[in-house]
Amino acid sequence: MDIFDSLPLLILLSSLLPGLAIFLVREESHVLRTSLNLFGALTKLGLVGLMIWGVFHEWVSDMRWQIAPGLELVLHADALSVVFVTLSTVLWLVTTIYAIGYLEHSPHRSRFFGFFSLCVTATVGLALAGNLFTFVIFYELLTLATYPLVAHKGTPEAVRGARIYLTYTLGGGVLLLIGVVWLHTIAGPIDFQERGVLSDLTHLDPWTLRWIFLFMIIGLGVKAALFPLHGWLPQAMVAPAPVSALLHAVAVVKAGAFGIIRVVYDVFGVEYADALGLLPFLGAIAAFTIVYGSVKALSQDHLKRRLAYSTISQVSYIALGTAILGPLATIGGIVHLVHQGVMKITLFFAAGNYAETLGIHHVSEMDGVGRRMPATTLAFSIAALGMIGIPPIAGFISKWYLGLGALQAGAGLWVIPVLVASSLLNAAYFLPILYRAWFKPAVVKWPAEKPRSGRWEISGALMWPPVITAVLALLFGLFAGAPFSPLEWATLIATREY
Amino acid sequence: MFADYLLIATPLLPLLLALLIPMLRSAHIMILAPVTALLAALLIPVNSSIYLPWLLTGVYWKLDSISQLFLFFSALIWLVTSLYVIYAHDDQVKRSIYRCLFMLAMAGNMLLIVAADMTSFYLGFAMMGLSAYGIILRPSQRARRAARIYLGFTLVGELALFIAMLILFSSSDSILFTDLQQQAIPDLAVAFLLLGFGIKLALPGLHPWLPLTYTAAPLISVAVLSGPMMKAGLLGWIRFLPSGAENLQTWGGVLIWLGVAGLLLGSILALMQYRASAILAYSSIAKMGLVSSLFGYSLAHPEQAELVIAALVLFAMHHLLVKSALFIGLDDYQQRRGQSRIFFGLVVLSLSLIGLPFSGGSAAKSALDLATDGDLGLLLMLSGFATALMMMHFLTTLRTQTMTGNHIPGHSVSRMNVNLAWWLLLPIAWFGPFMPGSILFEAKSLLLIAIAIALFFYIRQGWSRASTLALVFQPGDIYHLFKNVRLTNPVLVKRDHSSSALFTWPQPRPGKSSSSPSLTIPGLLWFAVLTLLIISLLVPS
Repeated sequence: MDIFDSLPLLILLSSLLPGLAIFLVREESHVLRTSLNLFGALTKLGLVGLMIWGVFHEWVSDMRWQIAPGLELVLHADALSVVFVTLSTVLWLVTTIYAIGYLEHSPHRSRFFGFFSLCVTATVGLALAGNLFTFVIFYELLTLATYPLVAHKGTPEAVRGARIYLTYTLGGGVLLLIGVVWLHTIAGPIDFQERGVLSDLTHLDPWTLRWIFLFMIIGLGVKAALFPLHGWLPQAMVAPAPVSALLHAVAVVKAGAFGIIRVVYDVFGVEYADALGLLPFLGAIAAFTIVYGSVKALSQDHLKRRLAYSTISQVSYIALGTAILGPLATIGGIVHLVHQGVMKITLFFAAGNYAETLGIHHVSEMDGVGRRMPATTLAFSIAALGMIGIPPIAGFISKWYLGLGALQAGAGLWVIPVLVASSLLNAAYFLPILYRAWFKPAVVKWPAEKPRSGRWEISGALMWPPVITAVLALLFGLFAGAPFSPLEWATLIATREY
Repeated sequence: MFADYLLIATPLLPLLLALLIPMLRSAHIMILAPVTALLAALLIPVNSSIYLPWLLTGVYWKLDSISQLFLFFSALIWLVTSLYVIYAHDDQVKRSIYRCLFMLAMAGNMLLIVAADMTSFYLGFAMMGLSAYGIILRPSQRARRAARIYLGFTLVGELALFIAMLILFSSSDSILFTDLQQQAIPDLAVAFLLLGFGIKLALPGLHPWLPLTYTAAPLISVAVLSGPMMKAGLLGWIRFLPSGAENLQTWGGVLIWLGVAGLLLGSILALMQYRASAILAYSSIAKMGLVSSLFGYSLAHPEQAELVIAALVLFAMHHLLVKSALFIGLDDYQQRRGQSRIFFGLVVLSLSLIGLPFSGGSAAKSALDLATDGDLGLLLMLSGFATALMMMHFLTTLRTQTMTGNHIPGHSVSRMNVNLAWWLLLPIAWFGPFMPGSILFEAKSLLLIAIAIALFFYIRQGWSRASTLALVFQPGDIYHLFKNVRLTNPVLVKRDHSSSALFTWPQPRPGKSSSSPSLTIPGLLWFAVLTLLIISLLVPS
């Protein structure tokens, strides 16, 4: 099975090479750049399809390159990486289409799409990383590739937001690196392995391991926007809409959350982490962040800021699922990695559409927008209801498994109130938006309306992406029991982790 | 095979139509959904089931004898109200978003009726409850506030149900209702179930959303809210709390008293209302109090549970039909500035609700009496008595009330045809859910009703003298308690004795009528009651 063995590398190259090529493309060559973009995205999709099949049958093995003695770059595909790779690949394709529509006629498109591809390469790379060293490399690459995207507009505000982003994430990266190096010196090279590796190394001092865990979680927590390390996220919403969408749904925030999952499950091993008393600590931070993010979101009038705080809250569901011992909670956390991704990307696409077409940036300007832009608003509504956890949208499945997991682990008394509070708060900041959009009469004049052209409310490249991701969010929930659904994969992972 | 498809189509068709309706010019296609559901209720053999493992976490739908009854009568009401929605003149109801959410609510209702697992039920319950927000809403301040409060209560109810489901699933490891019957239900889950469905059934304390909503929403929406949607709460209890578990007996006792409190609260407050829709709203609270009591009784007496539940479902179906029909009729009545024919229809419905002999109401009541071995005879009697008072109050209020409804300009043929649907519904509501031939004659309730009606008019006299002392609660009572308990004028207007003509048919009064109707209505009622009394004496029992 040669093709299966080289799949991880091919998948990386499928976005790296087009990305590098795009830097060389002249600004005006719209067609060439678009073809490169789509070629890369579609190729990757095909390869990922193959990989899913391979991993399902356990055909895929490692790829290793020795850099120095004891230091190896490892690419490896297991069930968990497949989840994240698939999510990034599918959403990358959709976001690319969206970005092409969004950035039409704006300057520096080659630079944008070049870094855009690099960013996805880094994301996929850290999904496929087979050990901590490889993970850290791609983690830092992601930080660097995203910076130009956040600063893309070049306004003082954008530069400032990007600078804050860089400060936070580089700082986090350093802490993560310290943790990884420390672990490397005392335990040697650590490959990710299902059920963890550290539990077998009994000679290690538990307190050292606890400190290492702390460093790693802080390092990862910056990207995952755990309280109090979340400050950069609301600032980074100055980025163009497709970047925000990718940032919140797949790339940066998810990289942090994914890292936490990796560290807890495949480095420490969830049972060992629990034995060390690390899980309640993580759980408490996650629970607090969930409520804190939602409370902050309540008072934001700026739509993208509200969504940013909502991300802070929702991504912590993943950390929460990780922090509760037991397969059901694991399923809940991992499945939310995917579910939050498709729902949040929908919300940001829609926010971008409102800003682009009507000049709407604030919730208070959204009165009656549902009649002007029905498809976008419908997509937004589905995603928002999903965030609250209304069945049959994907968010319900996450919430259901998290709740069951909490009861299974005997943690129901503090987790369920958090889930309930979060649902109510989500309702409190999303439902008023829906009310304005659908039920309030429209204002006479939108802040900055662009003339309508074509048959849809907005150009197809901008309209279809949110519709598609909203449909995905609906299907993931509705057909959660179907084979190859995110829930089924999460279940597969959970059975392999325990 | 055909039955399977029909069962799947029952909840899915309205869902599909909900998505289609905004795109279509004509809304006629809406009636396809309730018609399908009616066919499903009639044609699918009892206890047919389907299992769809791919949907959600695996869903299981089944049509047992209880869901068959719920499905048939709910679908009937949805059918009639759909017709009214299609030919609506109300600007709010004509909007496509109203129709869309109306269909979504219908889909949720159908789904929870056929659901045989917790997840499907929850999905249907949530879909129905949340979509209803959109059919309550109107541009007015009052309606917006009502809709907001409704939504708040509904969300809390849904989360309570969610928590209860988590606990139930953790303890039984199954989402099927049939698996719940095998073991004890954790107390915490019971508490959350009582809360979750108690909000839908407006248990005392959880009820303020109901009068606010019923008096602010379009009456056609209220017709479905008070009928099919409200009864979903009872269905929820029946499904989630199968009687037989030990610990449920204590809970049953609690529920009996909660229900009694609801009955008293609803009845007393109903008599203090001066708006027809508010009276009906509080009378719903009273009736649901009775329903809760009876359900509590079934929990407390597991050995009788099966019979009590069966009788209770029949009783609930009767209330579903009559209450919905009353609200639809009220809508028509207001639209037509008090047409006498419609008033006659409303009188008929009220009498059936009161439980006049040969009506479904009386048959349901005797079925309940029989099933409970007469243990709750007093409560049933009290309820019948209170209902008689409330409905008298409703009818007289209706006659004295100024018609503020937006009158339909010109003659509307379509509206006339729709009204025909209501007339066709009347006989069903009168007898339903019983077959006309199967209703036995009950003489003993008649006396009670007669006393109630007499008392009503007696109090009415006295009350009007002391009218300034009459405390009038705004619909929503405790919601306003902290803000404004209003001391306003008369629940009941001072009667004008000048008119006579005992046996003339009540004429519609143009404009504002400060005087109440003449003695015509009470006279006619007395006449009817006396006639029946005489018949009852002649017929050997």
